[in-house]
Amino acid sequence: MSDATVTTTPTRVAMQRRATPRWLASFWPPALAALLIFAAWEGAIWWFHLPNFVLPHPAEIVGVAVQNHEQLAADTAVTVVESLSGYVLGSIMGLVVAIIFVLIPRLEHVLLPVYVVVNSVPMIAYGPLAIIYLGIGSASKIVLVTIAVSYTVLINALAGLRSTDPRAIDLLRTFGATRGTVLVKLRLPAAMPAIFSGLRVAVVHAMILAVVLEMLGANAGLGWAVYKSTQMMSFVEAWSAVAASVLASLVIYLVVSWVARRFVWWS
Amino acid sequence: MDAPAVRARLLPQLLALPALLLLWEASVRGLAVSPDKLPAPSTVLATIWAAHTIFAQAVGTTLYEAVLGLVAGTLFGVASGVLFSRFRLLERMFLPYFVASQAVPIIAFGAIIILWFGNGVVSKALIAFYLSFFPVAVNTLVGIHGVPAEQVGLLRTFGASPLTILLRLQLPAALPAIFTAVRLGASLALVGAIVGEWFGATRGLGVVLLTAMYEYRMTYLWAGILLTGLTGVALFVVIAALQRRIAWWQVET
Repeated sequence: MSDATVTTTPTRVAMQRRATPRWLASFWPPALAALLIFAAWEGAIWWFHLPNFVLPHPAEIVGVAVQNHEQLAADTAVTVVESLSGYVLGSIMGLVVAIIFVLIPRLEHVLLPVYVVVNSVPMIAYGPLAIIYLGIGSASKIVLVTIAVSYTVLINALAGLRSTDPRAIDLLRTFGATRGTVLVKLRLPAAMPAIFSGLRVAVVHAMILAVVLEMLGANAGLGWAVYKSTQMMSFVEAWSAVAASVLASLVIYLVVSWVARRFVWWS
Repeated sequence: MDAPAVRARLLPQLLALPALLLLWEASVRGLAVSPDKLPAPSTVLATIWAAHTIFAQAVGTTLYEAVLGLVAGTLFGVASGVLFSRFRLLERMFLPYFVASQAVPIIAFGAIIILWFGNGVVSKALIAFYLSFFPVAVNTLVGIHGVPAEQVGLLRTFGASPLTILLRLQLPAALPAIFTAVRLGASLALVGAIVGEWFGATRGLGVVLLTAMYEYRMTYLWAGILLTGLTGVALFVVIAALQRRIAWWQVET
């Protein structure tokens, strides 16, 4: 028995020494995939002699993005400001409404179904309405993003606030805690993981909705840039605007996820 | 839950829509709001009825595009989920992109799809396809991974082939997760088809919404919103019914 231990131990140590570090092990497959996609992309252009209005070289897209970086940065800023203002307003609104619903269940019975009915229509269908009422500026996008985000946050916050152990609530109440104290000390901390998962999903919705609404009607923003360039047949510009919107959303999503992990360490 | 409790929860939900419509109708009539600002529900319904062939064609077109894309997206999504579960390297190479695709507005690529495939049904179906494809693939993989290894081992001991294990154990076990993704995919497909129609299509719900906006036709616009909502709900109901038929052993909660 001890023989076996002696013979296996050195091999294991050797294997550990040879093994690639963990970050590299999880990094190379997606990097390889990116390389393959890039090769297929360039290969398709070369093999089929695709003109750049069908498929531009990745380098061309980057080149145009660098060349237009001022315009692109301005459009990105507009979209990010629209989606983030709607996101912040909607998160606050969703959270406040959830707390009101938990404190006054009767109100929830009446108003939650209304919220559900309004949100059973895809939010983009309200786009034309928002643009007629509020114009093609940022206001129409912010209002719709606010409504969409508030719904996602509300549903998640309600689930979280209700998940509190009723016995824990009873215990605190026996010690003379008011409804407000129970909410602040017990229900909200317990609901935090659910609230943050709602916040994470909602930030994605916020960016997508802002971009899509800008395609419908706007005078600035990445969605507007995509729409405008396709109408003007400037295809490489369309690609660069799409790429910018993808990058901007990814950055925002990663930031929100990171904040969520830092603040809800107990989940 | 006992019957009165169920009634107490369901009743407000069932009454919400009629109550909302009644309140809306009453306030528009009572305050004499101009239909150019906010049309009453009865006006909207009358408009739909008066032009029902046009609206039916719009709903039919959009639904066709969305369903075509959704069906193709579901089939491809399940297939690639299975492929990922078979080949670990493929999963590690491409899954990060599939997951990331759900955090970015890939719908913006729709503009490029229209450039490639023109204004017809194909390009909208393609948008609906790639929007529904990603979540279905991810959830298929998650569902297959969720099967306990002992169960797979047991079947293997009985001499089951990998295909049998897939069809008899792994896919059935993954069905709830797959259906969750299909439901999400359905709403994405509908949105994708509608947004695709904004780029110069001639028929469909997206066209109804867009022309109503350009021509400031409020009643027409509300008809479009209502029909879009109903189309979405109809898709949802059909998928839920399919789930009850196909994954009937699953306990509904």
